[in-house]
Amino acid sequence: MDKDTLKQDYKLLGLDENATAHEARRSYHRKKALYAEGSLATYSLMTAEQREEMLDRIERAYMRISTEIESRSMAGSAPLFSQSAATPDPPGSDESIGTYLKRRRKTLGLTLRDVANRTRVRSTYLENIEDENLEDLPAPVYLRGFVLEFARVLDLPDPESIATAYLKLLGKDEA
Amino acid sequence: MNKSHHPRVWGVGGGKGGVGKTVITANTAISLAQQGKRCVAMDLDLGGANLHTVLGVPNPDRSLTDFLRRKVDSLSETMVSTPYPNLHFISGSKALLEMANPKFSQKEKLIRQISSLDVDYVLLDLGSGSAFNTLDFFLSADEGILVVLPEPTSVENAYHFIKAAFYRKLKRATKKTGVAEAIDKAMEEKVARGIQSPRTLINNVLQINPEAGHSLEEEAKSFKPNIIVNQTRKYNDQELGSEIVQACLDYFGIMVRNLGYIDEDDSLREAVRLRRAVVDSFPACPFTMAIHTVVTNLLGAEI
Repeated sequence: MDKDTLKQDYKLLGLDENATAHEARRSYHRKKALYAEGSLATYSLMTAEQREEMLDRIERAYMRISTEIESRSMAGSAPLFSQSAATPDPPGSDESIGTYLKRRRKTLGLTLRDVANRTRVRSTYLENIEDENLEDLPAPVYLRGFVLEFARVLDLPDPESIATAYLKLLGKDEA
Repeated sequence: MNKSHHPRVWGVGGGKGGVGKTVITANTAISLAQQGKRCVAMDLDLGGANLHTVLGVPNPDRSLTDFLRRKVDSLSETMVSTPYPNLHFISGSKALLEMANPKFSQKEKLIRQISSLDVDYVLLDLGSGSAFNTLDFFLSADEGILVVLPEPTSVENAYHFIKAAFYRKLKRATKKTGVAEAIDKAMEEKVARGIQSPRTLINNVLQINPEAGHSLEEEAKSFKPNIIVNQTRKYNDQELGSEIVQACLDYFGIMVRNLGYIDEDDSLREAVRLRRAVVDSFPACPFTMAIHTVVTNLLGAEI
């Protein structure tokens, strides 16, 4: 693969060249959201055509990077996540959401601080979310965003439904 | 003593009126003054000067006008005290006529005098819009700060301001024939949304004149405006600052620093009613905390 193209791909996604698959996926999603139609930060910057072009570039850059990361880990350099980390287990039948988030975080080998750094949600909040200390959690409007970001960083398949399910805990508590 | 007794100048601007420039300027100045820094807050919002009201100072007799009309010899004679220790104020309220179209030499003299005031920090409350004067004061500051609201119009204006300031900086830096024209052309050229990427401009100049192109690249690297996203309400709004930083880098090739967001806070209304500044009246409210964070981020950048 062309080294320069790849270099630019990494730059476009704001990644350094040792990025993990997880980091690449996360930054790909962020970039796509930044250039999505109707994005507040970019809507006035570009024409519809330029936007399409940018999204296309992001898409192709991500494809090339994923391929490269895969071949990198096949070649024997240590992959960050074990096989089980790459595809998250579904929550156990009697496992609460908080415990599930905690288990997933530990599988990925992330500390609360790591997650806090990436989500910019304070680690005390993250801890309260995991431990389901419902009375110490922020208002539902914020909480929703916090859980969403948390689930995203953990690379869980459907962050939206996790956030929704988490908010239901609050309802149950009040009832 | 070395040269460092020149004050640091922070200029607060923003493409749009009503984004909170004046309130942020006043409270930032007070926050610095509370830390023992000797400050001057200067009203350069010549169309709608009201910094004095936010600072709780009656409209003073002395103002920028006296300096511009040469009634006083130096700018420092227009400084008046405020209710806040370590903080002085320079009024711009009657300077509208003189400043509507100041001579280049007049503006340069003012900029020189600002940087020779015997204080630690000068905070400039710049007017809205992207007129040359506003841009020149913004660019003359050690730190240029742009206030943005999480609203499409404000974001659009912010990009326009960044682009205009950037071109102004490049244009002032280059006297080479061909380059200035290329910059003018880039400003006029309108893509559908009226904004053409400065990165494209530099690439064009590199083709016309590689030497001039490289010096523009250098100039571009030294352009590092700061942004504050004000009146955030939702979690998404708080992300806007870092998104703008990303977009500016991708699209303009300009490094913008995100100083943080300021959540909407009822303390502001209450403070206005009391005619006191928020950071003074409500030392622990979210607004005050956010202002202190902004100041800490800027001070951190100086080292």
